[in-house]
Amino acid sequence: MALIGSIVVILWILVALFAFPLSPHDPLKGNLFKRLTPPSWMKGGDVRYLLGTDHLGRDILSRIIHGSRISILIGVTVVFITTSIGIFFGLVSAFYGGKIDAVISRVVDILLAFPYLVFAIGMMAVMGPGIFNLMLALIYKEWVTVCRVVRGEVLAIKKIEYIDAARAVGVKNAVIMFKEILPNVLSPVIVVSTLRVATIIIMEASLSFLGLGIQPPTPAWGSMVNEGRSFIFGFWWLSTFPGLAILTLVMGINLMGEGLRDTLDPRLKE
Amino acid sequence: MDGDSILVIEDLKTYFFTDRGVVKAVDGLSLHIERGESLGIVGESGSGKSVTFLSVLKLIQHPGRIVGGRILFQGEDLIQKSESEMMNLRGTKISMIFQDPLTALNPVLRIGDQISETVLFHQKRDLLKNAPLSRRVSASMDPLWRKTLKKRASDRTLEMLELVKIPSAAQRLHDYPHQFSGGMRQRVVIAIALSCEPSVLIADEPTTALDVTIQAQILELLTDIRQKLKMSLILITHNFGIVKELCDRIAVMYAGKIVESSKVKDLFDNPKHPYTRALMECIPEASKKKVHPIPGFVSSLIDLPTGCSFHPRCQHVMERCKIEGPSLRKADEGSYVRCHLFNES
Amino acid sequence: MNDPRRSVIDKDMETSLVELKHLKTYFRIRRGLIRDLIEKKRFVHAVDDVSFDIRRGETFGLVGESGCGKTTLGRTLIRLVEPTTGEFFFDGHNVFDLGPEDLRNLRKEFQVIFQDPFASLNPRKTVYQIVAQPLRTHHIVDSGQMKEKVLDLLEKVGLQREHLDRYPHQFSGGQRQRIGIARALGTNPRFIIADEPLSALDVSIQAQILNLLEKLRDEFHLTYLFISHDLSAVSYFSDRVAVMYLGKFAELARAEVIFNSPAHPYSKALISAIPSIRSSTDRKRISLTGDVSTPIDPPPGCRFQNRCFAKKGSMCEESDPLWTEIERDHYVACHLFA
Repeated sequence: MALIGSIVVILWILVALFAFPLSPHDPLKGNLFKRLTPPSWMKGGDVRYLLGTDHLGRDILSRIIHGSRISILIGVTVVFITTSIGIFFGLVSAFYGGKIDAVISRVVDILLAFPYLVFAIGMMAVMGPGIFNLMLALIYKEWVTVCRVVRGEVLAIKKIEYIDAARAVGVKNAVIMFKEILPNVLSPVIVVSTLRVATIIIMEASLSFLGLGIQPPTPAWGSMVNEGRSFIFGFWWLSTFPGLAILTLVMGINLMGEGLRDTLDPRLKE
Repeated sequence: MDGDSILVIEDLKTYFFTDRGVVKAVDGLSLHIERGESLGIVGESGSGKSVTFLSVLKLIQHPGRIVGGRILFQGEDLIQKSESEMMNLRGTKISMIFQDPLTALNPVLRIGDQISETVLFHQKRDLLKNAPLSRRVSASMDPLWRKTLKKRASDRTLEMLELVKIPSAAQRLHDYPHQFSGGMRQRVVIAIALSCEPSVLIADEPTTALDVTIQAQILELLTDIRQKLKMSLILITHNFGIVKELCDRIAVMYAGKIVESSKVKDLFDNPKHPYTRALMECIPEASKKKVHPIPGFVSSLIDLPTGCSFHPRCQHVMERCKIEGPSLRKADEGSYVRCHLFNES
Repeated sequence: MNDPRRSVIDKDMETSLVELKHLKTYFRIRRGLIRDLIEKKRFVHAVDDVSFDIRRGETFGLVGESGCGKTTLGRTLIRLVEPTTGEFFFDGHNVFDLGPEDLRNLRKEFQVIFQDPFASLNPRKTVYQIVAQPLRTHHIVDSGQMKEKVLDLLEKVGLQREHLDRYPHQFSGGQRQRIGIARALGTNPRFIIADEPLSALDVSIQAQILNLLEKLRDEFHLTYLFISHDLSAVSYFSDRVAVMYLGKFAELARAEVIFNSPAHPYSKALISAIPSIRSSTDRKRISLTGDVSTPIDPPPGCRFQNRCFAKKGSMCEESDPLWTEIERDHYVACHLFA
């Protein structure tokens, strides 16, 4: 299962890397005469536009191929950064406890209490649209989820005797955190992280829809799904194919994540 | 073997079918217990002592299965009984209590409710046993009937709490498990187990999780109750001392079989099986100068040694032991041993 | 234990390796931000004024039932828990006064064996990594010789070369405990605190580990603090034994004395409660009634008086009994002996 997932992910990464040579058409240029062409195997379809065209006559297939770059970039980067930040603060907060924990937990609580979109809108309004700012906005909010999960795990592990054993030996705190606790915490974190890639992609879609983040005509799967919403009756392919793309990538990442988690756990090795 | 045997196990085999192979947890076990008698089952982990009695109550789950033998309770073979028939038996005729009182009790229910729940369930079943569906429905909707049942159940509950000597029972009915100490909780568990006056109580390591002074109290309580209710008690433990105090007879288990069984006094005066003797040598006591551990490791139940399961660790091993597994034979009056040293036939 | 081989160590017993003076470890009960600020502070008196010393080469047993504070005492000694007041001298050094660097250095000298062989080993580390950890932390050997040293330690506890790359879950309870012991020996400690090392093991395995601890004691001239609730094991293995109740020592004497002629009523009840196969059929058992009184801000008077069967009178309720030496090397805290 995990192998299938990894293959899917690798395929998408290759698609993203070789987007330019792979796309049959320019994703940004639309042929208005050809707008809303159905996919090639249906009546009225055109073999040159394999998956059909959107409301501006742009080739869906090419847009999906190019969109993969954006989605993978945003999804993976944001998740990676937020996971790292989240792990760090979760570890520190749970390990040291006391005032440090109180402060960090309050920050986390406040950020979590903010309705996500309001926060994002606020940030984007201040910083302006664009992909970099979009990522920043996403990061600001996302790290807290990881942080909480990590903190919970660390609190549980802290009580287990092998941590006491390490302290009794005289191992330094920093070393304990990273070499004893962290490997045991990674398992649930990986699972959470892989699930969040999908969330991030969808969040990107919402923000782009509101005019923040990815600006048209740059293709991004989330935005494509949103743009196709008004055309869903009768012209279903505008939303469906980008949706399928999101589905396959996310599933691939999830399966890969599970496989990763299993390989990292020595208890399952026999 | 004469007298009134309330429970007879014949050649019981319970195996677990795992990915790594077949675990022969219980492999041909036979024993019997008389009415009113108390039997101690001694063994270490992996001996099969718990699995044996979980099999009796048919509580073995996948990947485990009873694969052979008979379990006769009051003459009827339990293996043949259906799950609903077993549910009628469990808690009413045969009860079981386990090691950890903390997890045996529901933390969000008051203990009074937990005791009366059992009573109510079984009372209802008994009263409406042969009644047609219409009667059952009308009865459950009749408020007077329900009230009577409830009153009976709560009287019974109070009775049970007093039986297990919980002070201020009437007030403590309304308390939750976490408001009791470990010893008290185990008493509550015993109260639940006895609420329907079973003929047999199976206690699986009931005092292992308790402090030694509390353990003493619980053992005293069990002796007391046994006499009052004339109940049979099966006590599963790894502690010889407890068995000596509480039981009439004792059976020692190793690798899924009984290796020795006899009256308690006889076993301690004259232990026969090498495993029994080795086990007694292991136990540290203030007066001993040395403890002698049993060499080797407990045999894997998937990969049992040929012949006698104990032979790799036995001080008196003979050639015959490696080839042929001994059977349980009578050694003295009331004593049985599974060992070639005693089966000179 | 009158084993003639141990008389060699008697000479060393004159000097104390461990000296504990008036140790108190209290835990503050927290009930939330506001309540903590407003209400009066309440403390659990886990260890309440304990003083004793352990001589070089001695095995000191500490027994008591759950909640008596023996585990907290052990953890305070290694400073996994910070003491509230008191002094702990190890070979002349005041351990509670040491700064982090010096403390870390001193940790080489005393090590711990834990109760739960499942939980005391990191499930994601190999045996090699687990045993090498203290060696690395304290730079006992350089990396070139690490493997050899680890193998050496494993051999001493009865494990083999092929176990090096395996993970804890692949071993039995007894073997895991051996790994823990190998880890403890790495820094060549002089003092080992064994916190319930046998409790999670089967009877026959307990005997194996006990024998191993004995062998190591003789080989390395170790001093042990043996904490357990198993009175029989403690009396067998220790030279002197202390009985602890609700944070205080009730009695302290040589093992045979505690077991055969205890003075304190609690010790008597404890000993009589042990189901033993050697006891005579009519041994009188002392049954304790009532529950253990509270360790939270305990009232004045003897901690045991609400369950005591030999109460002397109002004195027991009013004042704490003094720690009295009733015969050589035999101390009791009880008004019956004031």
